[in-house]
Amino acid sequence: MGKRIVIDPVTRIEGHSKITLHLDDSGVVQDARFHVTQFRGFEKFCQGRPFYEMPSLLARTCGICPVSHLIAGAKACDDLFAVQIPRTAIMLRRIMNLAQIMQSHALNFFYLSAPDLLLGMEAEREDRNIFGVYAAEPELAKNGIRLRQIGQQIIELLGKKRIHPAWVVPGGVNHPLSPEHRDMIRDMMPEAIDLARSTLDWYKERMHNFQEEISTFANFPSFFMGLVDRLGNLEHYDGTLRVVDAAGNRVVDGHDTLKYFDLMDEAVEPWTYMKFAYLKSIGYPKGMYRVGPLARLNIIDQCGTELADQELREFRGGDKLNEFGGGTEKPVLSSFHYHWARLIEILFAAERIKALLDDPDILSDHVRAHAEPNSFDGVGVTEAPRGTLVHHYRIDKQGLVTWANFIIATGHNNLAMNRGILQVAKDFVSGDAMKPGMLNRVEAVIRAFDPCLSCSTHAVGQMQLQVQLIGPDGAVLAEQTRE
Amino acid sequence: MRTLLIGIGNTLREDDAAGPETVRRFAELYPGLPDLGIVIEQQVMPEHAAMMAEVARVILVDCRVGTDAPGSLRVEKLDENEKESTGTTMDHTMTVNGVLQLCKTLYGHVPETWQVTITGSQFGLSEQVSEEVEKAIPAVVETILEIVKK
Repeated sequence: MGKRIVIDPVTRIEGHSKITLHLDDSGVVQDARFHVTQFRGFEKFCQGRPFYEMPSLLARTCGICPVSHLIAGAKACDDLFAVQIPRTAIMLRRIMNLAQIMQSHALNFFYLSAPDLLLGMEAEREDRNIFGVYAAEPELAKNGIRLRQIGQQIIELLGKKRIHPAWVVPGGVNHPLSPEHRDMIRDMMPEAIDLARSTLDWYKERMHNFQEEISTFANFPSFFMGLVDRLGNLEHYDGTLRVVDAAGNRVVDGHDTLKYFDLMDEAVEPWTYMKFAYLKSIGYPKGMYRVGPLARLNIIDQCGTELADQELREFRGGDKLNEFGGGTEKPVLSSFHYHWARLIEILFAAERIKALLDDPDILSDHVRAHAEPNSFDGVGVTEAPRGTLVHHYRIDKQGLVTWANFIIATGHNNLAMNRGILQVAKDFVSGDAMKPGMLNRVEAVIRAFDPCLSCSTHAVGQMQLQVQLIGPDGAVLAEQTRE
Repeated sequence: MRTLLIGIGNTLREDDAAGPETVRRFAELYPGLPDLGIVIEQQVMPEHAAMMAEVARVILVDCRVGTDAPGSLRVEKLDENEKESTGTTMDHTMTVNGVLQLCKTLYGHVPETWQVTITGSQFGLSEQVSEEVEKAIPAVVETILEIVKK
């Protein structure tokens, strides 16, 4: 008789989910599933709303990365306008996006994942939390709090609110940057760079303690996707889509973001509300790919900033990586290294913000283009902290949204997350000898991807709801399915 | 800055906006009070510890779910025992007590902390607070002023 282990809820992620592990008679894991149990419906209920409401409306999808939805939504509206927006507006949007990446990555690393990294996977459950981190390494905790604060302060200085700022609008931003706020943000960047570098040093020293996790946390070949600029630099706002395979070969390069639908598609399964994105040319499920910090660092030629490029060389090609099973100048396959990639991106964000603030046009008051819709179809693609974010709207002659599609980072990673928990479960979980550390590792592999479920469960009317009554011998006794 | 006034709540969920709305009106009625910082947030977070550890006094204004009459006001000075409790630990949300614990363990200073709460009764999707909370807000504003002047 088969057994089932349920982890419900999965803790320290953004949203609600559960994991089921299906064991055979001898207690060996046969299958593992990451079930997203919450349901929202944004794609449906934004229909009929005026297009210009979309950035702010969609920002409400999430309290962690509202800026990403604001920016992707505003870019989709720019595409409806079919106009070029002012250069200063682009630079200001970039700064806010990078500030959000900084604070969101700090949240995952210091608040959600550090308990595992600092206290170990076998630590007592009551100690494995944010207070455990504070007790064990107060300086690390302070660094995390400060980095979060800096990211949030930048967002507030630009948009007047830390959460759900309405500053990014179709056509640009709604007010310019003042010299005073420019100086305040610029003054914080040296500290942010120092904090990021010291945390990288701290992490790289401790990474050696996690050899087994590195080798089993979603460590398998897959494709990687993200944005790059025209020079192959790390890009979070614009650019074109690039896909590399596990050997580092460019499978797709220079793909126009407005034609994202030629590149990817989404499948649904009856046991979860989250869709499964895959590469259209490869098919489902073999077209599994990963997005986010790990993928971004795997696809680029270089970051494009001095200090982040030093770290990238070590991440992708340095001698230290080889002992963890990575190859020189090849993509890093273990999803455990999302943590490392996040820290490098924090460093990059601080360097890039500093450079943007030094641009002589950053204080220009020409920050918004005004236009009426010139197109009935608009696409906005950006890189959110967790990966590539797609907003696509169609409108009628009155400017009301008739159809919307959102592909969220966590949906891109869904296939890889499911395969990742199966890999970890096979290695760490045995039905006959189950320990708390084992189950935490299964959760921790999900946490490494930093999924945001509130963003990624937005489809309505497409999901089957399947209810199965399963007898003790595993046979399905009754089944009801709602299409 | 000597005193930090923090309004906590979701302004889209009726009475949960009691804290932010009260603090907003306080700032309108008494602009430019010396040595006073004002912050409005949806929830308390670890980052607040860094801010709170830099001031002598903190006043937190929040909504409370309770059995007493809607609009009831409660003023509590948090004591040392409460400051020692651990609060929520399994995610990135925190309790006030948890933040105070961080003030102590990370920054070595726990400010004098007042918690001012208003009992709410409606938490639907609206930016309007209930009639009872609306009526209570002027008195809460004056209570805050008394604490600020202490």
